[in-house]
Amino acid sequence: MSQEMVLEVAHLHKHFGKVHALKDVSLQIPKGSVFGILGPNGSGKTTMLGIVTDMQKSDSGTYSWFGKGSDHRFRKRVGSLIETPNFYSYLNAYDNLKITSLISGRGNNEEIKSVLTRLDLIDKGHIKFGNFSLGMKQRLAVAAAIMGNPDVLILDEPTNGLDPEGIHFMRKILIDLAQEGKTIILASHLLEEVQKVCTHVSILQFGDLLAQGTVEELLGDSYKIVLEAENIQTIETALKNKFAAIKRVDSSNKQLMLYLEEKVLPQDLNSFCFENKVVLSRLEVLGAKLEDKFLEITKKN
Amino acid sequence: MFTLLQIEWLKVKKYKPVWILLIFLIILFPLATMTTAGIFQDIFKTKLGMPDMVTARIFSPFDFNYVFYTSAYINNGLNIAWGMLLILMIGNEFQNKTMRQNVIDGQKRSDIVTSKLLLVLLFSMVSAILVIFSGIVTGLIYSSTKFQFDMIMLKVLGISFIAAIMQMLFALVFAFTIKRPAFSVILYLAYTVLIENAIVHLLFRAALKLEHGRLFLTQAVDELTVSPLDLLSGEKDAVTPATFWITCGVYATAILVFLYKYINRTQLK
Repeated sequence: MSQEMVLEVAHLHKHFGKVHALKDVSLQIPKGSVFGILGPNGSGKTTMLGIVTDMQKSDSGTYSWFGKGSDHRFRKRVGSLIETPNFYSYLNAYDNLKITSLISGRGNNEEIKSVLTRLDLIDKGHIKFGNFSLGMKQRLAVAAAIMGNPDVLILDEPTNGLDPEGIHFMRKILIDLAQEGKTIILASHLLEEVQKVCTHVSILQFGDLLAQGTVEELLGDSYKIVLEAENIQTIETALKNKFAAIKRVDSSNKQLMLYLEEKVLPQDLNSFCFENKVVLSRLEVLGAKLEDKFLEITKKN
Repeated sequence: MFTLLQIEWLKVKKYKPVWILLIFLIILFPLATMTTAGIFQDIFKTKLGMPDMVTARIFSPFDFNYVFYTSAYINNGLNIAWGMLLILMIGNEFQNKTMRQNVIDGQKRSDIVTSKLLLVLLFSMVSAILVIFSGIVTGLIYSSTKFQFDMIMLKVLGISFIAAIMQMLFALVFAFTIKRPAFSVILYLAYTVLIENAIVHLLFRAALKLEHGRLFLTQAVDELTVSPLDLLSGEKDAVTPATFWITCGVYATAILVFLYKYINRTQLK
């Protein structure tokens, strides 16, 4: 049975003047996934999220929520924080959430109190939004997004501009929501964070969708091995020739960092080094990092 | 529709400029009419040597119930203030990105316009009531006749309501297309106070000797109300020519069609 999709984007194009901000972007976001959208600034992440939330109009292409269409009724089932928290500065937190609940049809007075409590804002409910700190504004935006238990959450850089305490708080909320099994679309620069919580990832750059899939699929079997020895530099070329899986080597003083496309047994490496009169003082297998994969893909393009 | 009204009310009830403007207009509407009545009487008594109009029971445009026409004529210009308020409110919604957040949260784009039209109706109703209120206050002081309920009051209420709607609809065009509140207000004021008058009076009337300038939007709106001069010249039952009703109708339809089409296409950045 095919997996149910909450969002399907097909062949989206968007120009801003001469800039081609989205180039034929197509992706599918499965139900229950935590879908990371990665990309450097200006890669088209927010533009794509803007289009699927009807904030912007695409030049061509389509998108469909829950396999049903792009009607405003389906957006009501999506809680979104895109770019910045946008609320009425002269209204308090409670009234702002009331407006969100009236528009989205999600949540009631009890629910408003509940999300304010969850986001640690219950005693700030009567303070005007304009008097909130950046961290409080961001938390209120998350409160608005999760209010009424939407089917999908869109969080675009939810830790932007937050202090370490705020980032920690937001990370905790994010992990909690992911554990609740909610479908989350997360656009972020914090790749370590994304790797921790995301099940799926897509990488955008200059409007091109460079990669998409589950985190495992994307990372594949790629991993790194650190070799350390007094004369390690002497066998760098020999290593590359012997092991085809080595796609890159970073060398520094007595250390070689091997980037591998597929698995190489550590004992084979150790034997090869020993045969070449190199006695290793360190051989460590490091787990694959999304950050490395991201840099590799974006640099390649 | 009720939900839209609820949302707009939540926004308006704590928006201080609305209440400041309302207090300002509650004072200004009767004050403007009474000041005009005072000057009018003064000219009659001191400059023309006529007896006091009230005690001598000489017809004046401030007599009940013609005073309502006069009040409407004087005060309709103040609807520009409502227009400015609407521009500020909408401009702030664009600038603070709350309008786009509302769409992200599931609001239909067309509902953005509909909700502002509800405000236009609400403000127009208040404005029309203020016209009647200022007519009553002025009449109680300056009328040589007693107040009697008749159709003039209802007619003026209706005309003032329509005139206010037209003025505010025009303001919506500036608010939605320019998006920046200060710039929109400046352009709106410049057009309604200066540019249109310059085109109509200097170009059409003075240079081209044409009366077609009266079909410009704010001119046509002004033509809906009966002027005190018409009342003095005996046209007490003056009826607004159908041309101006049709003109206003065409403008209103064009503005509504434009706004709904525009909001469905614009980028809510």
